[in-house]
Amino acid sequence: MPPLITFPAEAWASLILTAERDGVYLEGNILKVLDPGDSASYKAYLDKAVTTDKDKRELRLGVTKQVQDQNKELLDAKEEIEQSKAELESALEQAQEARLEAEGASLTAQNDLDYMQKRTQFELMGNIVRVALWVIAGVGVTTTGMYATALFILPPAGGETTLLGNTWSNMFGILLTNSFSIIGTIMGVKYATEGRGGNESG
Amino acid sequence: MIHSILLVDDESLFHLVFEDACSLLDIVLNLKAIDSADRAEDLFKVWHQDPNGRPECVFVDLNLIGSSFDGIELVRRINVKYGNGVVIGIISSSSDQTEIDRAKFVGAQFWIVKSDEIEPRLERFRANFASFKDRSSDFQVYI
Repeated sequence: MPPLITFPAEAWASLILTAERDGVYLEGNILKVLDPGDSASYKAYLDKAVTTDKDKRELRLGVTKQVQDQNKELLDAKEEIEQSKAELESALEQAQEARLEAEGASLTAQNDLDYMQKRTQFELMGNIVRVALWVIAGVGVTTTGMYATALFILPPAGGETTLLGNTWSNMFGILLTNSFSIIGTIMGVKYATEGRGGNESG
Repeated sequence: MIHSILLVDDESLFHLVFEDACSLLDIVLNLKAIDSADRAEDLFKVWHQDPNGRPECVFVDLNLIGSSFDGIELVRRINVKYGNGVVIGIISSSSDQTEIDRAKFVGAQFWIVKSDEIEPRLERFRANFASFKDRSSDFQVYI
């Protein structure tokens, strides 16, 4: 036990008077070291002061514990919210990654489709050019053969071959012109298509 | 009754709970509460030179937010660097056995689990206090 202290009679009288008049008592640990001596009135004052002090502390303890519990609940709620927020952010990030992947796949598919279209187009153009050239070459060879036969194997009466020669020359010129025209048109279409594709991809 | 207790806890609301609980149970005459392990170490540096004012018992929270080190490290420093001379232990909401073993290893004498019903544990602690003081008691955990 700590050493007890005593108050002079005047101090006790003032304390008791203040308690009776204003309802104000000493509080705190001073009550634990105050010696009322043998006086019944001092003892009664001290008992009342101790009871009042304990009542106040019990009340405060209850309130403080409630606040502490509420704080804990708030902290738990905050933690849950932060966890949910983190999960949402993670989900959003995954969704963005998925979107980027989908966009990448879409672009790849578009490029593949474009490539396939161009390839088909080029193959078609190649076939057209090839067939056209074969047709022109065939017509050229056939007509040349026919003119050669007419000129040299079965010459016309009188030996006049100028008209046939000129006619063959003109026809052959037309064939060459047509073949270069076809090639030029096809190449023009091809380069125009390549240029447009380049701009689209750029 | 314990003459003086130093409470080191970063939660100021718990200072009030502890003070009121100790007062209602008539456990302590003089309670000092601080919120930092660094501040506690500074005080023990002074008390190591002049023991006047050194508490009889120290309650240390495990996790001290804002301090340079945790409660167990504070217990270790008080025991090793500042000559002990006090009854010292941990008061924490945790009951992690690893931490309890750590505290015991550095010389804590008790571990009190904080909760709403702290009073019964403090009463049991008070009943053992004399044996803590004369070092006749083993390490105690109050759950």
